[in-house]
Amino acid sequence: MIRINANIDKKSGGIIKRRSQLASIWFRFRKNKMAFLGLIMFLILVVIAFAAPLVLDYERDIISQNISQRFLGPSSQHIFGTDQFGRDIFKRILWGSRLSMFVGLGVVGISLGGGTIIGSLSGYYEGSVLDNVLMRFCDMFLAIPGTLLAIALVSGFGNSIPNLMLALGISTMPKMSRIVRASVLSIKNQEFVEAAISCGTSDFRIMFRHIIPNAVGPMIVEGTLSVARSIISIASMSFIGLGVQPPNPEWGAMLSEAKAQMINYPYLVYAPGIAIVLTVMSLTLIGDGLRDALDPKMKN
Amino acid sequence: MKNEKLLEIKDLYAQYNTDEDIVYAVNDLSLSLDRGRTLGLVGETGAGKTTTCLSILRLLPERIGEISKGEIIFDGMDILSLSEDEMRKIRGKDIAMIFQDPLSSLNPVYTIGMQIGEVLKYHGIYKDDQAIENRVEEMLDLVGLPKERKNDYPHQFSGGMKQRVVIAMALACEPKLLLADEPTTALDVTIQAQVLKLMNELKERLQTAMILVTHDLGIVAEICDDVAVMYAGSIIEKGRIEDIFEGQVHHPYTVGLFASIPNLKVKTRRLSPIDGLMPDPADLPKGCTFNPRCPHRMEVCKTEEPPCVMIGEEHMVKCHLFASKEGGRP
Amino acid sequence: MKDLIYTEGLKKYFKTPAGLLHAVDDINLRIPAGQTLGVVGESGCGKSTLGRTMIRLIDSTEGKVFFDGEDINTFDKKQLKHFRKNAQMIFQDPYSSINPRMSVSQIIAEPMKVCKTEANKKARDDKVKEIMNTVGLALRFYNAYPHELDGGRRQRIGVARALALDPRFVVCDEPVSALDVSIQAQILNLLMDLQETNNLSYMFITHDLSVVKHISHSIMVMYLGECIEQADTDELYENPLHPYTRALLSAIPIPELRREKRAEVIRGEVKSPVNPAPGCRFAPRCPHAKPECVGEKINEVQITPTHKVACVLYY
Repeated sequence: MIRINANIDKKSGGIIKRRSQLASIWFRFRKNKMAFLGLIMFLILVVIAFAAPLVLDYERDIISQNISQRFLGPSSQHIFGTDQFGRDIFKRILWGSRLSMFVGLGVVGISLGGGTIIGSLSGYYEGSVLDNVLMRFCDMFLAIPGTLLAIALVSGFGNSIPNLMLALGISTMPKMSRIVRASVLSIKNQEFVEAAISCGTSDFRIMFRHIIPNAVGPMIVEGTLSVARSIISIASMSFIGLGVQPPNPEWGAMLSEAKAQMINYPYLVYAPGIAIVLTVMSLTLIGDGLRDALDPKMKN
Repeated sequence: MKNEKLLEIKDLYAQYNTDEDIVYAVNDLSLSLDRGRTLGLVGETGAGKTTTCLSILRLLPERIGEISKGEIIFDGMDILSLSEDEMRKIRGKDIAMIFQDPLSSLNPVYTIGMQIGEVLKYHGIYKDDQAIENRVEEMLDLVGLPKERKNDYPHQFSGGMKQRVVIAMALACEPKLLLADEPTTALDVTIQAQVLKLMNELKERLQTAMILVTHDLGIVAEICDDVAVMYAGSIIEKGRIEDIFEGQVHHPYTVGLFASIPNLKVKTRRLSPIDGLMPDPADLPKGCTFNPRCPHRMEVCKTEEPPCVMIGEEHMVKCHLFASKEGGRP
Repeated sequence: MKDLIYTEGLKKYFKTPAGLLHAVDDINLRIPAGQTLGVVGESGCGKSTLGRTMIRLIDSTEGKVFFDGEDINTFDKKQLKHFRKNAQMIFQDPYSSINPRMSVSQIIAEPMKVCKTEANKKARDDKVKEIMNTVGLALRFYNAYPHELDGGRRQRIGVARALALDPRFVVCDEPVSALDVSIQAQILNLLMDLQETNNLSYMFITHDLSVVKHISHSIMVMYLGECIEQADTDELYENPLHPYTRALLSAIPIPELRREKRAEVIRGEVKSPVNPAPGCRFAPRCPHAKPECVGEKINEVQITPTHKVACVLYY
């Protein structure tokens, strides 16, 4: 049932001033309590990532080993205990947030950017040669397990953190392209796209002004979820010696190191596990909130 | 049996409680339907026609929809006091409903024979499979489809034929009351004519009482015995079909409704629409709900709810204009 | 009177896995400036495809469409852009035809932005307000989003957008079929007023013979891609010749009681337009079908200068 929004002044006939587009997105976002909580969590993580080098010394606090203090359980001195080299896990987690978040977001950025371009091109020019070429490439990449592909790419490009990000980004790009393509397909046949064509709008403008804004929902959901996946992927890459190298602290790497000692020292997995869960949760909450906030149909 | 009341709705109020506000979909609605009669429920989008039907079946959306007041007496039973189990036995067996979109009313993965049989099996009217099979064939025959097609899947039928299948499904258990919600709106005119003809024939043969929800006064003229015009959740005029189509006294909204229909016979180029729009059901106007659009608005209309005035034996108009039983056609 | 737009043997076929779908088959029509041609037919008869080929939203397979004496199918990019300003479309579904992420003013301003018809933002905004006024949209909806409005108002946005470029020809694809009767009448009146003030030509596509009567000067009836009858409006309603036109007219439920018993309802349903056999495509449903209806192409017979029909009964 359609109702007139309360924001519209029923008596005056004049134009009602509205918030600007960004302001109203922020307004809708703020009303979603869970999303706001996610945003606060995420901001705290960001602050930690930036503040870590100010408080901690990389040499002294993060990588120097102290064998006499190894495998100490959580205590007031070491909140999360120490690892097999006697390093304080809490400090390493704080420091690790720099790498994990940077890499996680970077990977998603690459796959989202590339996926949007590939997906919207092939969706908009459905059935064309371009669409076929792009999609067959995606199929090819989808047929190779993501980690394997990333390993191949990193070995090819050389082992460094930007290359690792690029490799993981490329390996998740086909899936993102598929998702974008599917939503573009469902939108491009709506009449408002035809209306845009009928006044001579360029393809580029149709894509970016009419189609993609209506397709962001699934993209954001997939994007936030793949941050989690890429943090885990980095871990497995680190595990086999590619990507982040010890003694660099990285959550995934810490988790896989801890796996070996899990039976004797289960507390080792808690800290990196919780850190990953919190990051992923905050991003998922933000993603949900953002998807709703970007939709003007949601109540102002 | 004749002229016995099958359904009686008294002072029904139904509402949807959303997060934001309360949508008053049906307000103070009373109507009654005798056995074997067909009532046309006419009105525009959002007038509460479908909500009324869903209330009779107690199928309002869970948690949101709510019947807040009133009584629905069906065949001597108080529908609103029945348990969910008892209600389930009534749905499909005593009261059946046809929905607007024949496409979404049929399950695409079962043959239509299975789907018609399913209803019969569920209500346990026919015990053995052979009897069910026979009944399915009988029903297909009744709605003018060849028996052999019972093994076909919905996508093998065109829109008009699908609607015939839906009608067969609804009538399979010989319901006492059939609720038809815009049964021909999704169909082409020539196909609509075929379906209307079928419904008219079935009506005479089976003597099923029917409530036909529609926005098309032409369809009402073709198959209904009684008419109720709805506006903003209440009935503003009701009577026998002759009262509505040929009577001299009408509610201003009914007059407007007739005037806005493009007429095939009259040579006017301009139509005369009703000014304005349907009111927001979450924020209904005070007094008469039609007053902001009414060309005959009086002071009293803005404050007091109009009374139900009996114009003829069965002809009721809910309007202040006739409160003193004077005044001709508004 | 000079014809603003006319076609010669216009055809549009679609390739489908089942064969060639004849959506529009050999259509000849003409619309004088300031007049309305009603195109009537049931779903799947190709009327929407015809409307889209008229403004080159879809390229035609064969035949020509002349606008102002020029064949639009030969236009290059620049000419096409100019043509787009002159020929606009109003769509059927007031829900899917406007972008839900844009506000009312943005939607109406968009064509002007794209075609750069107004000098600056100020001029554009003024024009948006002027158009909103013309189509009867209160200015308080200037910044509203489409989902806040009802179907009738949304359709007014669709009309406003089509008018933004001051077109001379507008294809109206079932613009009122999704609306309630009382709102329907409002939109029809609006379209007629606009025609009078702006000297617009309309192609009014609909399945509803009673709606089209009020707005059209002449009417074309389509069946499975072909034009089966074409006449001035009054002539068509007073003297329908083709059996299909008669069936359509008698199938309309009329809000009157005890009218003479309805003429025989036509049987069967519309066949598929894929690879149609030569001959009359209505023949399988026609009560007057004869052997000569099948086999050869049915030619149009000119009954009067303004009335033609494609049926063997009038050979």
